[in-house]
Amino acid sequence: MKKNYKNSCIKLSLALVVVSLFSCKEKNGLAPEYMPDMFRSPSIETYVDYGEVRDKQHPEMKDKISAMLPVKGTIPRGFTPYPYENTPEGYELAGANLKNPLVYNEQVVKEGEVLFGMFCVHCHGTTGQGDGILVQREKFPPLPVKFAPGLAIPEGKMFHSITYGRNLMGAHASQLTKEERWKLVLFIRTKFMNENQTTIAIDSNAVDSVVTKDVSQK
Amino acid sequence: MNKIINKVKKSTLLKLSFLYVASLFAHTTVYAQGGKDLFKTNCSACHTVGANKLIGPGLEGINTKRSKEWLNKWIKNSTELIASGDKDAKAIFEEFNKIPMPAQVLTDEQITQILDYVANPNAEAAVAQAEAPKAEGASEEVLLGEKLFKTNCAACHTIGDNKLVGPGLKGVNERRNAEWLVKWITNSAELIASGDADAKAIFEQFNKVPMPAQTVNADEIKAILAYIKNPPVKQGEVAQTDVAATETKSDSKATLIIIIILIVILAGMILLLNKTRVTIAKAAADKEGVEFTGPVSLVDACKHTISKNKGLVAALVIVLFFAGLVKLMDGAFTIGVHTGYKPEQPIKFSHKVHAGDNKIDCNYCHSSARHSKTSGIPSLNVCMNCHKYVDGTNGKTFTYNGEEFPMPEEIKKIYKALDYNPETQVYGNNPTPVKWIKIHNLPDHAFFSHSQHVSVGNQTCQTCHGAVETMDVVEQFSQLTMKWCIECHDKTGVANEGNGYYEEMHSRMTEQYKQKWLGDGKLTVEEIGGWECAKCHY
Repeated sequence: MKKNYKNSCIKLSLALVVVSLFSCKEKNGLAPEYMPDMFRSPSIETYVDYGEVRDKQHPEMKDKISAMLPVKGTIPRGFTPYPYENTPEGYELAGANLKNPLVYNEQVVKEGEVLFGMFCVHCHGTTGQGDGILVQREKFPPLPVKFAPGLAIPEGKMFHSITYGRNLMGAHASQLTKEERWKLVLFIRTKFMNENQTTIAIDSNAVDSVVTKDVSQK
Repeated sequence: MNKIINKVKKSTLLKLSFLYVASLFAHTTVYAQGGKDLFKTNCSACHTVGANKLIGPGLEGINTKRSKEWLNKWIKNSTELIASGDKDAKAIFEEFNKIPMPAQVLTDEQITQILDYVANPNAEAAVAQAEAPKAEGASEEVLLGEKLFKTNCAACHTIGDNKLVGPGLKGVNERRNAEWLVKWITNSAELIASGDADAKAIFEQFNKVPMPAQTVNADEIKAILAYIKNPPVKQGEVAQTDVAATETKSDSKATLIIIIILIVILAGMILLLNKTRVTIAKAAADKEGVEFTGPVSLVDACKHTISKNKGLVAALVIVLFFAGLVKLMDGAFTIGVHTGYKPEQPIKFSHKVHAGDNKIDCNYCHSSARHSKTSGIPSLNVCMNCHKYVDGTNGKTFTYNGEEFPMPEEIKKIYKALDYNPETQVYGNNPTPVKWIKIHNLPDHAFFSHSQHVSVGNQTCQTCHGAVETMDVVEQFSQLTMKWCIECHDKTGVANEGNGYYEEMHSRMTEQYKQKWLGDGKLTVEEIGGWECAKCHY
């Protein structure tokens, strides 16, 4: 009886040592998980592998792409399609017809400045002269466009260019909402092209229709 | 009064023209240098020193085209000059879409310096070029061509085979004759309209986007073509590409093998020692004429030792038991805590290169962090915004985890995933996802929203993710445990100034609560409900 007790004691402590040595290591330095069914979501979440949900294996889902485009023919909530095509004609049409639905105020310009610092500054530079850090470090060629007073480009064309990209500049529609793109246009025109937006006469009817159509989306 | 001013003006002009002549005479670069800086800060946004227009006309030969006096007037106040009915001024005004040149606040002397620089902009450049180590075998013409190419053409063309916006220009000298090229470059639309078959074919091929007319003269085109034909090979950029290191991967395997060998050797030694012990003991027993009764096998020997040293063994068992217990409890605290998780990603994407060296904002790629619960892993179209042009083919390498890797290999992985052909710039129909490994995983029972923290709370990415801009391979910086959340919510203040909602609420509070919540002059996340269970668990 005594011997049994001693033996089991030895065995238990040995087991403890062995367990503590090997249990805490999973591949790639991931720590162990306890009750994974509380960790893994059975509902649809971003970037989740649904190969195993609630201990059930789904081999057809395993290792499959989880970030997808919207189903064909559907439109995400709050999204409005952009009517102009990515063609030279579309560019001209956008330049002629598209007007900034945002009305100038300091707050909007400030927000535009923040966005410019995030999305444009590394090529266009803090001065808008196309001398951003990527150009300075010779990753990109000097930009042909320099924002300056008197640069003869309508705001619709600028919006179109941010949406679809132009020349070497890529499309930024996936990163910026329509409202943000307009904020950028407003900021660039105010800061670099010295346009005082308040003096521009705004056709209120046109603005209303565009505002409800374009800006309400996220 | 006016007469006096005129007299003064005339005298200063006289002085100026004298200075101008003197500077020409002396050919000093001192003036030109001052002029260069002045030109850069005041004029270069709209003018070039060459013949090409930017927003305003190119200023090449402006000193011979216009009089000194006229230029002075124009620069200081162009609208006045136009209004005065000056013919030249009016013509320029009309030519540039009635956009007047903004009046410049420059002294006469500064204008002279600028004009001096414009008259001879290359004086300094030539000096600089002579000082700089010249690329081998490159003539003056090729160097000039390179410079022109980079400022005028590189935004749409490469000197290789690959398309950018327009076609790659390798071998364009053989494809077309020089006359045709000059026509095309200076006015492609005219050439297309004239019915030229080649011109039309290119126009069609590039989706009817015409090449903008370039204001370069025939000599400059010649220089550019010379550069395209024989681009100078820069030393030290070619040989570096294949210095990839392959040693470190076998390291962990080698240590394992060494450990196994050591264990085998030690086990052999124990067996051998046991055998010697038995032989010696037997010999000793023989000598004394007694039969050997001690343990023979290793297991018996162990049992023998244990039974003889019971106290020691008991102590050892107790120590081992508690050591194991402590280790197990320690281990329990690491369950679900993946701090330092640093998996190797399918593409050697270095955050240090992108966010650190090139200073690209986190939000550029992770654009949904501002709007969404998830800070998205950027889709490949975001990569292509830059990597359509930056393909790494100029033989550059980058450092990743202390090792040098060739750039093109990694960028090609993007192209391959997109089924994109960089030569034809066509996307195929068979894209495959890049299997990035997600590092930061919150359990499903905890809710976290990026936009709430980034847009509303104004937290920087680094607060939770650490200095990602210094990491080649991203690793989990924070614990992401509930304790960690709670502690941050306890000490982080809320910016409620100018927020009418809170002002109204706080004005309604009784003194007792005012003291309790606002007594320390700081409103923390916890105090506005950041510790409520249902905020994160529901």
